[in-house]
Amino acid sequence: MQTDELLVAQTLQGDLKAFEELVIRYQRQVFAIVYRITTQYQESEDITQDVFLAVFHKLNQFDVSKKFSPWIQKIAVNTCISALRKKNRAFMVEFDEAYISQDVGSTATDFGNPQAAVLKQELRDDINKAMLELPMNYRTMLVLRYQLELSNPEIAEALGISKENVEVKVHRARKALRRILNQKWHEKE
Amino acid sequence: MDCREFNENIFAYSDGTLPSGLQAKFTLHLEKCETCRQNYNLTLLETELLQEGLDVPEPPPNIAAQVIKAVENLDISAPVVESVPPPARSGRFIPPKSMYGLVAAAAIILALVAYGPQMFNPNNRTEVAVNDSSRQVLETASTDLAGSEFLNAPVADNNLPKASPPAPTPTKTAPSAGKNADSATSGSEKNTNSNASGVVPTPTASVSSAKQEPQSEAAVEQVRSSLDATTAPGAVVSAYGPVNIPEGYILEAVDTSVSGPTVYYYTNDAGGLRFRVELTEAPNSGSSVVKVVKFPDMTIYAYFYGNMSTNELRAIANAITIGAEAP
Repeated sequence: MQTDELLVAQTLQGDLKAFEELVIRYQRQVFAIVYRITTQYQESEDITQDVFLAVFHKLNQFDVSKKFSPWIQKIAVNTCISALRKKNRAFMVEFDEAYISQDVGSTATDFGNPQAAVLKQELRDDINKAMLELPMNYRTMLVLRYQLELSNPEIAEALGISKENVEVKVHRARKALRRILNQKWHEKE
Repeated sequence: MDCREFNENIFAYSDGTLPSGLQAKFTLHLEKCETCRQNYNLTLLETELLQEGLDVPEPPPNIAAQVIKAVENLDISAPVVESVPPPARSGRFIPPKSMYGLVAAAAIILALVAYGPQMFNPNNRTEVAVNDSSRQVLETASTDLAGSEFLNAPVADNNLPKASPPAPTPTKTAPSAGKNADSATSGSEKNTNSNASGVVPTPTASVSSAKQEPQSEAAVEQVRSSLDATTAPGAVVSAYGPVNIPEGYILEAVDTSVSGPTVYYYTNDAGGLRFRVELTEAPNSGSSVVKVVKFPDMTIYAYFYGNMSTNELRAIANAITIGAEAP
């Protein structure tokens, strides 16, 4: 199998088949990134196409001495965020303080034994639901940090905020998530 | 370390992003507290499940075909290999921490270029004087400044004159004569201070409501001498307090009650527009203070340097109180 980097080189020589192969290889990964941020299927499809068009445009900027996967991932994040901004979706970097519970404690007792497999599955479901309920800016922060495992400078660059701010916003997003989880757990009681 | 502090930082702790010293303290607390340990375990599990992410549906099967079609239809020319630049790096320049001072200095220079002419008119200085009982009074020797332009905000009943020409940063040690920012502890009381220096002992923060009145040269000289006596031999301090306060503004209060910056509150004659001036320590500099002037829609930073230590400069700034009325 040809390497990603070879496909890039072939595309740069004008071989569209090579580029198509790159798209096929990465469509699932790119779609997953976009879907986790938008949670909308149709919108994710459109943005995924935008991502690959952006990749095509920027292919000559790719440093062939590096891995292709992180590079396209970064383009996916940036394209997704700028697409949402262009569509006037309320992608606010500012976080609503009122949305965040100040209390993240005392949940362990309510939750009981988190090691139990069944409870773990419940928690997984709850987290997935809570993620869908989160405002997009919070969700994006958690996706970038925990699912894409981007560094603070990478998140900062993608969102156009300072590195120092990233840590604060991740913290707030976690608190917001915990707040929703707390509500869910209390409702079950 | 208590449970509240632990829970407040539990996400940073579980992510390992706390400073190492704090991380150790949190670990210590965790060993002792069962409740926090449970909460921590939950947080770890939550993180683990968060990393797994949402279940993502399969993407549409025709994405690749659509992309290729779009490329062809839009007649996007393929990038050419000849134009491959050096290794792709972040387009954003993030200065290393060691350059923060330079960046800050550049910002200050820009601010001073923009506002320096108004700010550094030596005729508009606010200066400090000290009475013989080591209590000090702030004098507002403001004469002219382009107040309306400077403030960039509507001011009711203000008689600020036009812009003054550019002037160098004041560098004198000794204050010159000026108007005393008389003040009273309440708006209904009149200033009746009458001692030799025109200064009456006062609490750290007091409110001015009286109009500024000239202070006698003898009084100024006395406080100047007192102030000079507090400085180290040969010391040159560019400023002891806020400078370039627009005419028509009254020092309303000074807050030195907290360990932070000394804060001077000003209001115009009509009591309408207020602004504050802060004197605080310049980060990473041995002997300077930063003046932060905060207007409703504008903040201006200016550094003041002297060959005294920062602590000495701050001590002077923090010793300033406003002369109040006689009891």
